[in-house]
Amino acid sequence: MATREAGKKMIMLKSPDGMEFEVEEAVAMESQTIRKMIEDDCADTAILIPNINSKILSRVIEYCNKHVPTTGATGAAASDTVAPAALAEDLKIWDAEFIKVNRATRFDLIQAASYLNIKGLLDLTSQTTIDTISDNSLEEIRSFLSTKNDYLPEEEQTIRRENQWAFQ
Amino acid sequence: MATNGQPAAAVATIDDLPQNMLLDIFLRLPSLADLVRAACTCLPWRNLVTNFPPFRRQFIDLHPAPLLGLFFDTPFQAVPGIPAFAPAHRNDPELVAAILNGDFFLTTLQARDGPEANWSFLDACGGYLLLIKEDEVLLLLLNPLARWCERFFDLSDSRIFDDDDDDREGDPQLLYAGLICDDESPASFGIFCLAAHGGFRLRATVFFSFLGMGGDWFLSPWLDVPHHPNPHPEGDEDDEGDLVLESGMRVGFCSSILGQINGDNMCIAYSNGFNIGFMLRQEDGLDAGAWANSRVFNLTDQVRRKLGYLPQNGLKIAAMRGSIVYFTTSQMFHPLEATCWFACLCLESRRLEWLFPMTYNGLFQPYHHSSWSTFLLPENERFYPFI
Repeated sequence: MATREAGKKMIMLKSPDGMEFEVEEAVAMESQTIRKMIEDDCADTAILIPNINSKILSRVIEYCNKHVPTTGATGAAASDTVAPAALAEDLKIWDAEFIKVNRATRFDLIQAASYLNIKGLLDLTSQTTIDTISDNSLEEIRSFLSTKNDYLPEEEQTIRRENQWAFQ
Repeated sequence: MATNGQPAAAVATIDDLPQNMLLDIFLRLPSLADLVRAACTCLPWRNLVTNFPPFRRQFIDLHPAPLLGLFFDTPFQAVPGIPAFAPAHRNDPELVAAILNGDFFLTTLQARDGPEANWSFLDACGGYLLLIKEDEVLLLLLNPLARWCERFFDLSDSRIFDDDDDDREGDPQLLYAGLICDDESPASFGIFCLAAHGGFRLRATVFFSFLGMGGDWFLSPWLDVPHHPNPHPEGDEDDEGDLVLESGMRVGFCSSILGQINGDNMCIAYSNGFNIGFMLRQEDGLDAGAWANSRVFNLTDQVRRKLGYLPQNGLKIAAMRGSIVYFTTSQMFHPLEATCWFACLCLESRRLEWLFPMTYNGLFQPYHHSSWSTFLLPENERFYPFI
């Protein structure tokens, strides 16, 4: 395993399309899946992350970089002086900016967050979909999430009538 | 890193997500109404929800059935009337929509009996309301959220009151009836009745909806209850009683109530002045089977802050649902000028919620939304116990 200045342990993550990303161990361990691999000593060489292409993987690493606890990370020394509440607020704004991606990327990110078991990223990426379902009419949900309506019109009418309480 | 301009072939839709991830998203939806709408979006989503039973349990555990409001009985039995509904969370649009779409005025009763309709409630559970017609032994089960869900039970046809022992004084009569509901099966229900013949002879009867329309009541044999030398030992029993079992009287506000907490631990909640406490049954050890005081919450300060003064009579418990106790700051028939608040207290989180004040005061039952929707049941459970 590569070791670089300041004694920070580096980990090599490989995407199936051949790209390699060198990240600090602490950053990689934001993912519970990778953490487990490292702790079980299954991660001596580069870790291949299956099913996640380089574009999505780089975004995931970007997220982990931002969310890794700042203790001991010299690059984040500046934020040590900032109050925790302000820091949390800053992260929230950063998250909101981060998640401004198209739908396909978002679903890829959900899958990646789920496979890599990164709870914060999974919460963040799922929330948009949850808001879509809970804030919109059926027609809007279908168009926003591009699902196909395969109910017969009369079927849908019956469902709506019998579950009126759920349709404001 | 740029996220736009990717090749079209890579476009993923929500249906490309593995099923467990889609279920994980559904589990995070804020309410059952959202889940029903999601399942109504397309068939595969409905099938996903209905065909994976563990999801139902998980969703119900994360989304306790919301309180829609309180049903109040008419305070005077001599005056005909039907229970009146008061909504609890008046600024939650989803709950208000549910109420507006249902029949919370119980128009069914008036349509059937006209202005003389005289019904009072026995129980509310799982979205159902169990009512009894005062001058007959006629029960009605209905779901105010679903107008077509109603069913009458004429107990005089049910052999509940048949007794070979004709030497007893008086006719057998209904003491009490209540509902048995399963939060995972909104389409099914059970009704239990307690009948008495004379002072010391009892029988229990149960009806289950899954036995179909022709289902019959299960009758237990009559049971002779040992005579107590002094049926009302002084100081042993609260004068208002847990269950007032005399004919024609309503079940009164009580100072204690039996319920279940944390799933199925038996629990007695009680009020004493401005304290609300609860006792749990000891499962093992030397005291197994005994009731031990678990916690007591002193609500004196909260009541004084809310009302501006301390009412004379202390708090009165009306009902218990899961770990939540419903109580009022005044007992029945208090002076009308006094404001009475209705509130609930969670015995686990000790969270106190003031619902609303009302000058009118009668017995009440909290009415909760059902925990699950018939629409989200798998095909083999979607039977229909109503005509």
